[in-house]
Amino acid sequence: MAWVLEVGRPIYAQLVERLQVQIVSGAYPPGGKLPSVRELAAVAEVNPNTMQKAFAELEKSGLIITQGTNGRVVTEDERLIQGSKHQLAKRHADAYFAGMEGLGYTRAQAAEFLRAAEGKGEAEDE
Amino acid sequence: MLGKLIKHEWKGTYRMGCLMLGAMAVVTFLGWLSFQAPVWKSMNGGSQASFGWLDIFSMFTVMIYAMLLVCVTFGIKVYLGVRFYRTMYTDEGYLTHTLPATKNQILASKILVSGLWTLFILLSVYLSLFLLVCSMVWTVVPEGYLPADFFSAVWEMMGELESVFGFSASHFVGIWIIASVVGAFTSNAILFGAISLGQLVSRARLFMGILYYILILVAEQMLVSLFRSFATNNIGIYLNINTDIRFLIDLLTAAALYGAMYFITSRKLNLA
Amino acid sequence: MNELIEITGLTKAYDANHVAVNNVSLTLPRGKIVGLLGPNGSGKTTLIKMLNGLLTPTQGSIRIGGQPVGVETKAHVAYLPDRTYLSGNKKVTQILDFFCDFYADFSRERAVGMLQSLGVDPNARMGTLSKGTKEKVQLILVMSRQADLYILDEPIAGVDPAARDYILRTILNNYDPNATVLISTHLIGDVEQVLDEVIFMRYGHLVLYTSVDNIRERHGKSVDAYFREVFAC
Repeated sequence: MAWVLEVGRPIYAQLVERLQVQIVSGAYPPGGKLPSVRELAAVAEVNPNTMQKAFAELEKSGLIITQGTNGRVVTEDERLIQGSKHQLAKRHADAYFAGMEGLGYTRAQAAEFLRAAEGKGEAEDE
Repeated sequence: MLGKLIKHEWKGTYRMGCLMLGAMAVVTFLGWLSFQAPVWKSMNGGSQASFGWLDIFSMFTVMIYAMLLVCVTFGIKVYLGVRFYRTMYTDEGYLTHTLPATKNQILASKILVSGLWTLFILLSVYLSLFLLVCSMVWTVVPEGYLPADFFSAVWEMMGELESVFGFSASHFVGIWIIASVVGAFTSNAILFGAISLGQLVSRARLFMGILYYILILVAEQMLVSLFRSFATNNIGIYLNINTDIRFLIDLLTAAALYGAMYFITSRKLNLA
Repeated sequence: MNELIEITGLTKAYDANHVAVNNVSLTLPRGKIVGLLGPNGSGKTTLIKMLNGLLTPTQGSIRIGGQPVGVETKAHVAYLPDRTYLSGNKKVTQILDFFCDFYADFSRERAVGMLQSLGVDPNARMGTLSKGTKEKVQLILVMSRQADLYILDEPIAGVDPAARDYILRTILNNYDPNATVLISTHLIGDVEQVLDEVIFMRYGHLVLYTSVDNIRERHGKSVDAYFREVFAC
């Protein structure tokens, strides 16, 4: 299945995010082996050089580690993974607020709205 | 690389070439069969056999024999010309011209293999005619007269020509053999060259190629007649010169067209 | 040596009024998948034909791996034309023999593997295959070579989405970091994800040569959208 990518943003940045999500969600567990650039590029149907660039970015952040001939593995440093998770979460939050501000809500109103929606969700669950 | 090109060219033409040779065998058998009809036996003045349906049939088969012979010699030419055009100047040319081979290698492989088939067909035609003459001589002439006698008579006749008109029989036969062998190759170079010339125009390229071919053949014939006219006062020399000049002009035309073909394929190629 | 193709001042004029490629200079590195983009009649195919030695330039020069176009470059360039160049009465195995003989970099094993996964009978004659299968067989032949340069002329024009995916996957599966793949197309959206770089051509001129992510970063839109903007009438 080709990965569905947004049209307006650099492809490599979107690949970085996709991989980050897969790592923090545990699809690629800590210390687990990652597919090769070539394999993953073929699965995602993207250019291998772009995938390579995304991997390099993740390596720089320490989230993945190259082990010589062994290929690449996910870091076992939980702090790093949690940090990455945090970063992604913050980005979602920012996007939410940006969207709400677009609708004319203030940040406080948006937060209130969120809490109400969450309460409703819990109520429905019970 | 030339070896590989020849190998694949041979593979590509093998089936049609064999089919043509097979057709020649059938045609020859037909020719032989037609001289087995009673009417030919009666020709040597022996029995007054009736002229039955079998005889009419045999007349037909002789005609068909002659026609088929022409068809096969013409057919191989058409087949080789079409194949050259197809592999060089149609979509298949995209493969041919991107092979890691020089234009000389590509052209040489095509001319060599096509020449070989032309030669085989020519030899089979000669053989067929020879067999036909044998079977005819056997049937028509009086008993005790062998085909060998017939051919030695022909040779003697040529010898007589030699003494009377200053005609050289050995020269004539020699050139004839050389021209047959070499001509098998030069005739294809000329055919392919003419087809290649057709590539210089922007449309109806195959048609123009055929037109050029006809024009070249006519021009060749005119040149032969022109040079021959210098020696018409003596029939023997005339016969010799005729074959010599034809051979020479063939060689020169083939060389010139090969050059043109090399230029066209390496500098002027423009596949549709 | 990282430069694979060096084109300088390349011009092809069919006649005085018809200049198909006009003074194009371009250097392409190894290890890239490059899109050659432009509307119909922009000179893409003419450029490709010159790279393959099927046309002689009117002016300028081309070097591939440091060599002028000729026997040497043809041995290292794998070309997929925008038409069927295989004779219909040949069997698939005979074509494999042919490629084995002529191209030292051809891997029969790789080709047979891909043909098998496609379900093509090696004993079938080319003429009996459907148009789509024929195109795929040609692609397999080209991608089974270990070439320095792959030139694919309109490989996805007129194919259905499944075939398009197959073609792109085949290209990606055979990607070699020492080789460059040049894909000409006017269907940019379909190939955008697999490209490193793009070349825009118009009226025989080189308009732009840059990376895909560069366009996306700078203009905040896909190459496809940007292309439509640049070439809007």
